[in-house]
Parts: sequence; structure tokens; C-alpha cells
Amino acid sequence: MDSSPVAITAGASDPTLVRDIVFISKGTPNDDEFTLWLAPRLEAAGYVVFADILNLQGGDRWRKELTETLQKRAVKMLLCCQDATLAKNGVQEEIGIAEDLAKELDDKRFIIPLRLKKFKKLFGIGGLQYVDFEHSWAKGLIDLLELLERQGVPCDRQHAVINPNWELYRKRHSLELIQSPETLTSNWLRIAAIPSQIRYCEPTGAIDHSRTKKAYGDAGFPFYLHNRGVLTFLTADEMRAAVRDLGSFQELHSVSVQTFAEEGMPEIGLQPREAKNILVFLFKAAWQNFCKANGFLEYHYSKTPGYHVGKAKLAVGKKIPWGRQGSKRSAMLRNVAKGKVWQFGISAIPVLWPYYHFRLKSRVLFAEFENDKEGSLVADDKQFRLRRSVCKGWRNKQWHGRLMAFLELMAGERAYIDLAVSPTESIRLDSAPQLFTSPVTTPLPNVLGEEDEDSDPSVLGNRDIEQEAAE
Amino acid sequence: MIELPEKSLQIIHIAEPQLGFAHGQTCEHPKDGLHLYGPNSGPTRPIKVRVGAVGTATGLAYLDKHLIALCNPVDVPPPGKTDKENRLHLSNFPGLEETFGISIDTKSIARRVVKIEEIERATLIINHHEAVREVVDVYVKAIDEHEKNEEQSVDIWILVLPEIIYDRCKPKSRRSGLNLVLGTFARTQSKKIDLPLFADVIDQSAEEIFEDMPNFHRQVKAQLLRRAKTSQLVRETTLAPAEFVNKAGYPSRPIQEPASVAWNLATGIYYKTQPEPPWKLASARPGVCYIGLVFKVLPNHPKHHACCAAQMFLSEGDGIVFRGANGAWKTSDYEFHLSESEAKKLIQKVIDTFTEKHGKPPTELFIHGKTTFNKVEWDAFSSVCPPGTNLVGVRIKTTDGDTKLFRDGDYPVLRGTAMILDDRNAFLWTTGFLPRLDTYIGPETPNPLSVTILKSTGPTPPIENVLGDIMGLTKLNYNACNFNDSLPVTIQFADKVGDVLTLKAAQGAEKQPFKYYI
Repeated sequence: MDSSPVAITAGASDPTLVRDIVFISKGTPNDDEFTLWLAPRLEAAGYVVFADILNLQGGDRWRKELTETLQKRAVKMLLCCQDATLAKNGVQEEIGIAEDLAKELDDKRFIIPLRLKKFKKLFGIGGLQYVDFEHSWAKGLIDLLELLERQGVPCDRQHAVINPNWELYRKRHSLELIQSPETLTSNWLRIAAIPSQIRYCEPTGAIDHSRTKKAYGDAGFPFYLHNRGVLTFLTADEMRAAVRDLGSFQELHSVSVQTFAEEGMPEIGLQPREAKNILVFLFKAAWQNFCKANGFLEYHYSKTPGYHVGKAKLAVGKKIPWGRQGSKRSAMLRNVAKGKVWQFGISAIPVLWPYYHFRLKSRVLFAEFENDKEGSLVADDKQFRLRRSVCKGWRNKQWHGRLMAFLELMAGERAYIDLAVSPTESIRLDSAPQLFTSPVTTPLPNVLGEEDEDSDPSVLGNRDIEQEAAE
Repeated sequence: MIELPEKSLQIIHIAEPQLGFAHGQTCEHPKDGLHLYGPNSGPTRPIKVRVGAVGTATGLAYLDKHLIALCNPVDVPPPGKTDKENRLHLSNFPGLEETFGISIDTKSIARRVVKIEEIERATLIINHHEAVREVVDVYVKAIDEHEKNEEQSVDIWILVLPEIIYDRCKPKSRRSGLNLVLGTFARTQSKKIDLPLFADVIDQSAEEIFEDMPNFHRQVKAQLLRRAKTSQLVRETTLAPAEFVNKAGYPSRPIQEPASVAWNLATGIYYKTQPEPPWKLASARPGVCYIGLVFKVLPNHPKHHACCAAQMFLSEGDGIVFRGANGAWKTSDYEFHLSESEAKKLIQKVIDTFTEKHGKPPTELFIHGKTTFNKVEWDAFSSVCPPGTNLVGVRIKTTDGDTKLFRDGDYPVLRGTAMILDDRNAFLWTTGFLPRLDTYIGPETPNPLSVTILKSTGPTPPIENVLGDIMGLTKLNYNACNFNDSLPVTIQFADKVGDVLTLKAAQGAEKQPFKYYI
């Protein structure tokens, strides 16, 4: 039955006020969840509901508003009954006011106790019939709605309004999104400069294919074998000097690197797509040469080799400082965990679009550790499982720190990393990762130690666990 | 050397999509919405769900206890020493009827007891295909028995699985060290042996088991799909973790805390028994329809034919799976492409169903896939789209660490962060720090999805819209009650749906609700 709002005058103070509010008297925090469940459902049924969680601020002014609402606007008071609630001063005060109102309004059932748990009888409400919510909130709600209807409490189902503040209270501990920029650090290194030309050179004499590849490799510069010759950043003269065993070279074609990427080299049958792949290959080779020359430990992953900080490079447990002055941080790149030595590393992936850059993929490689001594690398098939388990709790701060420390180890104070591609030219990378700016931010805790790990399994996101409950 | 100009890219933030619940209310967190308002289009008065259960006597006892608990509030355990004070990602479960408006009369569950010895015996059959089929038969026969002999109808079958099924009835299960016994087939047979000359003499129907992958979960779903029954598979170890502890007294396997298990189980039961899903996307554009294409190679097919399907998802309701024909759709290791006629047929079915439901065809029809579409396919898709429908092909790929963004503090980049590469390409972080929950849920640091608008028959939609839609579709997994998943529902269940469709038992099901597959 839809009841039209009934104007019950609020007493002597203001006869124009309508008494139509169902006031929930509750304790915090014990009854919060229940109130947040009950209140919107009462509102959906057409009642106007009030409880002291509609205002997040609290304080004396709010307390006054609560009391005034109860005194002047309440048509019923729903009293959450459990011992902890009934012992609260605020609730007892509200019971006192409600008892006076019951007399004033001549409504013996002005207070409707809602039994949430078995409770000790309290003077004044002991004789009142309660609605049982202890055994089932859902059944209690049905009983309560019937009771409110029977008692003619004003209700307008057609124009039911649910107060958005219930939800606001429920998410009161959430963080606000702030429309303010925040700097984000990527794992991309911008390519600041590239060699001017890429050349196709061919040996002038006969070619011994068995020797060719090795000879180019030994020269220490990237190259790509194509037809009889080679795509390279070296001039013909430089080729002759770099690979003496192969005799003279002649430069047949040359073009700027960017033109090569965009147009290919049609003279030798290279379309743009293939040309881009060749450039990526050459850039990758330049990175690999650089890492090997600088003593990083090479490990072949399925697609791209990774270069790690091995024992020749850094002692176990040693921290590498990084960061600008004023915000100095440090991170470990090698340490012992679960009876193995982990060693951080990077696989670099050159990308030409939307602009030239390298993407640095973090890697972790495990070696045996017995009797306080490092042994050989752990077998390939065990690397993945160790990676999943040892690094599970590493979070933003740890991965960020290790990447920055790795770059610090690689570039030191230099602003650029130069990957040599010829005796005179290089691919020049910014030594600091690219920064981007997000338009929004949130308050961000920064309390974890550099090496602290997340130990809360409920946030570590094991998908097997997430999904298996319901299939 | 040539210096290259400094360049940067725009970062945008896609707002968390709102979900719709009862009484037209919206909020971003399904648990909040269900707690505060109840399910969207939920029952106006509490209704009873009729549950059937198959399991061992012990398993059914665990289930009884668990369902009784589910009918009452289930609280999150108090925080441990190292936990945060406010763990917003965990929520108390108020009770099944309180949250969803449905109840289960635990006294009138249709119980079918299966013997553990029978399951054990079946799992030990030396041929793995035969073993899995036998175990599936144990459960399915129990359901058939009920359907044949009892008047009491069942809305959902809950299958309680002893751990040996989980351990032994998956593809590549290790059964070494067990005393395997000979069944009808030899240990090594994994393919059907065709004897056409003896077709009239020898009954070869038993050989059909080799057409299906030995996977208990998928086979049961396929069998029940044929019977138009929804089901919920649940492990005994999930229902009663305290009964399965290791020597140190800890659960034998990691299990979510009880309130989360309750949320997930209850959401699944609601979704699979009610006409509408528990929540919908609140802010979806009208007339939008999303489909995910599914391809799966048929096991043991001599020509490696694959089955295909389209999963259609609407912002306001459940998904529907449209089965296509089997064919030579696999074109390379990771690519599948449809023939012209099949591509037409499949999309036509989607458009017809949408039109039937809404009275007019969709204004925007997004096809989500992991790979690109070839010209034949695209032309065929386009040709069946009415003039007012903008068909948009979107590729969504996962990435594995080559693009990261780090924040200067404890938590990673926000979910919803997007790096715009151009007006057709972007990286979108569908996982990341969640301000609503004040945490990041997931391993290590989040990886973005790589999103590309491949083609469209009409104007290219703004990339922000495409990303916003994907964010929304990460919130439509009704198989659990997560704040979000990492993949949109169009992509996430493609493998599962495909697996079920390849099975013999699922053949013939042309158009079925998505809920039968998961």
C-alpha cells in the first residue's frame, strides 16, 4: 500500500515541519554495515531515512542536527539493538529524546527496536516488541516494512529517492582522484640521435660465406647480411679497416636512416616493412654489443637476450644509489632469496613507432647458491617458477628502483648511452627513462623500504585463486 | 649523427565505469552496489533457488555447511599483523538473500551422492581420455537420473569435486606413481581409430571420447550445455579449507578468505539462475553491441579444422554465444580467419538477435579480437551490416613488460591510465592502482593492454570511447564479484567458450546463453 505523506506537526517549535523521517539510532562502527544495508532499502520502499552516517564530518554541529532531526522530523526511531550499541552515550541520549517524543506524540511504538544480536534489556525499551534481524536481515526487513505500513508511517513509493551519501559513507576510506598532473616514469629510453646513413656495401672480391659472418661479428659493429653484401652504418673504407680478412668493399647504395625506414631500399629489393625490421635488428645488435662489451651477463630468453648484472659486475647485496640530489634512492640488483642468487637484468626492444625508442623489459635470472657460494645458473625450466615465486611481492617501488639502478650502473653520470655502430657514429640513447604526465593523481603512500615486499596474499592477484571459487 | 626531436605522448585517464543496480542506482564497485541496493532487475520479492548437488557424501556435507553459511553474513577475518587497517578490497558478505534477494532451502536440495570409490576407480583408468570421460559420466549420470526420476526441477547443479578430479582430470595431468588400471583402451591411444570397412560390424561409438580433450571441467559444461542446465563446479578444498591442511596446519592450497569466496559463489549462483545478470553497465551508449570472436582447433582433427563462435555482449544484459561452422579457419600458428560465407552468417546472427531484442539494429558494432581481420573477412562482416551500423574492428593484445609506467611511491600507475600513441592506437592499463580500494590487486606491476582500432565501416570512433568501452567490459565477469578483471569479457572467456564448443557434446548448440559455458 502506498501511503501519502502524512503531515504530523512537529510540536510547538515549528508547526510547518512534516514529521516523515524514519530515524535510525545506531552505534559506530558496529551498526554501519547494517545501516548501509537497511537505509537504502527503506528509501527504495518510499520512506525518508536519516542516520548519523549521512555526514562524513561528524562533530558538535552535526550532533546538534541529529538531535534536531530526531526531535522535529522523526516519525519513528529504529533502534539498533545489541549491547555494544546500547552502551553508547549518543544512543542513550537518543533513546531519552525518543522516549519523550513517544509521550509527546502519544505513540507507544515510536521506538522500534531492531534486534541485531541478543541484548540485555534496557530500562525504557525493555517492554517494546522488537523486530528480529538477528537470524536474517532479509526477513527482518520484510517484518519491518509490514510494521511501518501497519503503523501508517508516511511513504511515497512513486517518488522514492535513495540518498547518495550512503555510498559516500561506504567508500569513505577510498582515495579521491585529484585533477592534478603527476609525473610517471616509463621504461622507454628515447633515441636522441641516430647514424646519418645506412649503407649497402659489397666485397669487391670473391666471398667466402663460411668466413663472412664471423668476420663481421668480430668487427664489433652491427651488420645485416643481404644478398652478396651487408647493410651497415660503416663506410666502405671503414668496412675495409674493420673486416680486413674480407678485403675491399664498395658502397653500392646509401640513404638516410629515416628514409630507409620509410621507403626501404628498392635498389636492392627492400620494401619499407622489411627495412624497418632490419633497422630493429641492427639497433638490437648495437645494444647487445654494448652490453657484452660492458661486462653484463648474457642470457638467452625465448625472443630476446637479456643482460644481467652478474657476479663480475656487482657483489651480492650491494646497493646502487640513484636519483637526483635531494631524492637519492638506492636499489639492489643482486641478492639471495629462497636459496638462490637473483640477478636483475634488461632485455632491450628497439621500436621505431611512434618515434624511435628502446623499451627496457626487466628480467631476473637465478643462479645456484650453496655454502655461501654462487654456483652456475639454475636450469632453464626452473627459472620461470623461481621468477614467479621470488618476485611475486616486488611492487612498483622495487621494479622502478631496480630499473633506475641498472641504468645508473650502465650510464653513470653520463646523460647519454652511446651504442657504437661504426668507428665514428652511434645510436645515442637518453640515459634516463622517458617521463610522461598523467592528468590525474591520488595521494600516494611512500613508506615502504626500497627492498620491502608485499606480503599480503589477498592483493597479490593469483588468478587461479580468484576464479576457482566460481566456475 | 642526426639528432632526433624530443617527443612525448599524451596520457589520459579513463574514469572508472559505473555499474547499474536495483532502483536505478549506480556505483563503481559491484560489492557496494549489491550491498547497498541489490541486483539490477532483481526479484521484487525473495525467491527460492532450487539447487541440485552432486558429490560424494563428504563433499555434499561440506556443501550443506557452506550453503548454510552463505545464507548468513560472512565476515572478512580481522587484519593480520602486517595487513593494512582498512582493507577496502575485502568486503563482508551480508548473506545470499540480503545481497541478491534469492535464497536456497538447504533442506530441499536435490542431492545425488556419488561414491568416492567410483570416482577414484575412474580416474585410475590407464587411458586418460577414457578416465576423464568416465568421471564426467559419473556426475552427468547422477544428474540424468534425477531428471528422469524426480519431479523436483533444478535451477542450478552444483558439482562438488574431490581433489583427485582436479589433480587427475585436466589435460596433461600427472598420474605417475598411481596404480593405473586397464580400461577399454590402451594407455597411449589419444586419437579415434576409424575402421570404415567395419562400420556395420563393429560399434565404434566408444571411440568418440578421443574427439574431446581430457578436461573434466569443459566436458561437464558441454554435457550440461546440451541439457540446457547451468552448473557451478566447486572443489571440496574451497568449501572446507579447514579439512584440508598440511602438516603445519595451513590450508593445503591457497584459498581466498571466506567472505570473498562467498561473494564469488553467490554471484555465480545468482547469474546462472536468474534471467538478468546482477549488474549492468550504467553509462553505455545506446545501441552499442560488442562481440568477441572465438576460434579453437578441434582436437585430433586430421586437417586441423577449428570451430568458431561469436560471443555477443550487451551493456544491459547477458552474453549470448553463437556457434559458427567448423572449418579450415586456422591460417597460421596464431591466426584464424573465416571464409566469406561463414563470416557473413555469424555476424548476421548477431545483428538479427540484436534487432529482435531492441527493435532495430545496433548503431555501433564492435568486434574485439586478439589478431587482425583479413580483407575477405572484413568485407563479409561489412556486407551484412545495415547502413546505420558502424562496424568497428578492434584488436586487443596483452603485453608482457615492454611498456611500464612507474609512480614515485609505493603503488603503481592507476587503472584507467592510457598512453595515446595516435588516434587508433593506445596502451590501456586495465589493472593498476584503484583509488576506490586504495590498493593494487595483481602480481608485481601492471602491464597495459595494447589496443588498436583496425577498421571501421563508418567514422573511426574516438579512441577514448573505445578504451572506455573496454574498461566497462572488464567489469562484466559475473562468474565472480571482482572490482574488475584485466581483460574485457569479449576476450577473457574466448578460450573457455572455445574449449567447450570443440567438444562433441556441445555440437548442435547454435545459440546459447553465455552462462552455460562458464
